[in-house]
Amino acid sequence: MRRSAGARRRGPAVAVWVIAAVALGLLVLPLLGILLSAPWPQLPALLVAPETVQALGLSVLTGVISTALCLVLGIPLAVVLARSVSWPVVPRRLLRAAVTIPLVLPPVVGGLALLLLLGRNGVLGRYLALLGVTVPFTTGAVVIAQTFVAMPFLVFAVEGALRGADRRVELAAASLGASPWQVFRTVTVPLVAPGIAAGAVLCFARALGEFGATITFAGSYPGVTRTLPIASYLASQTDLDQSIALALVLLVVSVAVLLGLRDRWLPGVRG
Amino acid sequence: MSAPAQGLHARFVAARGSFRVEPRFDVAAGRPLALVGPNGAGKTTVLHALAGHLAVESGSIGLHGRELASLPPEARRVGVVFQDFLLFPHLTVADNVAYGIRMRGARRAPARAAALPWLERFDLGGLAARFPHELSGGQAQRVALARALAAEPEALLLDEPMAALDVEVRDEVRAELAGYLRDFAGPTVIVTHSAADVAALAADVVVLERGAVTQHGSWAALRAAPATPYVARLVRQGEE
Repeated sequence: MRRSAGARRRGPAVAVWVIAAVALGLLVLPLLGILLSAPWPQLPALLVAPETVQALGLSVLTGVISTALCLVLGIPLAVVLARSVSWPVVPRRLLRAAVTIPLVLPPVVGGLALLLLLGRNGVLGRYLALLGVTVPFTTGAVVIAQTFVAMPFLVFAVEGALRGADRRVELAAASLGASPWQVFRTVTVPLVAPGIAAGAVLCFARALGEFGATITFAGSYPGVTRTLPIASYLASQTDLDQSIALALVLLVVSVAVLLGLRDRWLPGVRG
Repeated sequence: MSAPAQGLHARFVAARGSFRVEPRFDVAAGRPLALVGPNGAGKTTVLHALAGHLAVESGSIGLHGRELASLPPEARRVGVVFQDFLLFPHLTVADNVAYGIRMRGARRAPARAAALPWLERFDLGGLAARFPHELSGGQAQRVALARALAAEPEALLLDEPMAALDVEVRDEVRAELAGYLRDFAGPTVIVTHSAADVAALAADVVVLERGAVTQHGSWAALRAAPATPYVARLVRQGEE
């Protein structure tokens, strides 16, 4: 049987559809699995269990602080990154690679690296220890681990917004008497506010889900460093219903993030 | 070389890539200067150098006895009206006009109050709460001018002030602009390639071709004796 040119133009081959369906199933079916096996009748009780409330509270607290840190540190980094297009090739690529590291590095490796830097015998940690400051296995360590993994989401979202904005208005501001810092505050930041908001949401979602770097660098002390994902993982070894309940909370947050973001801010579709 | 005390004095070399401009001209207060020239002659480069958005390679920019060449844009007190106005899209008309006042340390409310007379003078009172995307071209130009003047600049630069406007409204807006420019006490430079702008807005003309000044004089003097084929064409354009 010969296919006409018209038929070929209709769309991809059947095999492509089938394979795409398998891929989609791989993405969606596990979530369906959670919903189907969720202990719905016991759910209210599980959600108000002290361990759940404690882990949720710690996750929200550290997630909010990490997101705030990412905003304070990441917006200036995004400005520098956007400006680096006029730099020579080597430093420009090095900077971009540095910002991308947490996206490609296994989080456990990131956590180990933080431990080697800030641990009691670490490169910086030994001096902090002299000052009486211990970072690893504290709530502060959770925040640092989350900030480390979440930073690129904020930086790339803001950088994308900066590239899309007409930055010549910064010149207009300077000619009206604004110092470079005033230009940054009153023009640059408001100009990319939608990018900042989207970056902050992605950042918070990533921080909330952080597991590998946190458990390596901060451990799992209830109420101190045991965040939702860690609590959910530990519960999966002993009490599956409890684990599912914790996972559902994380799932709801992720879906909320998906719904709250416009398409163009999601990684991979930014144009 | 000491700059004369009054007016704007440009004697500098600026470069953009391999292209160099070497303007030499003086602008007296009350005698707006049109900087004309074919596309690519370096007019906008000169404007950016005067405003401080582009560093000069050498030479001097004097304004009322102050040397500007080494100052950052925010310290020059040189107002700029950009070709496409570059209003702050996230601020209302009132806050756009009040911007320069706020940058000098005024809080939001006093800055808005200080901007009010400017809004009224430029017939913007009814538009105070609008955002730039809600304005017509002529309105946006008035906001840009009010915003520049409210910052109390000592000199004013306008880059192709009519280019972003619809052809039908240009004559009317140009006449209005001429009135506003007459009221401004400092040296004024208008970059344009339009003979109509020169005739209506400027007292003197500097012709810039391939980075260098080829003629300097009043519009009447240029019409009487055009020094280059470009000037001759410009004069003919003005007579049509």
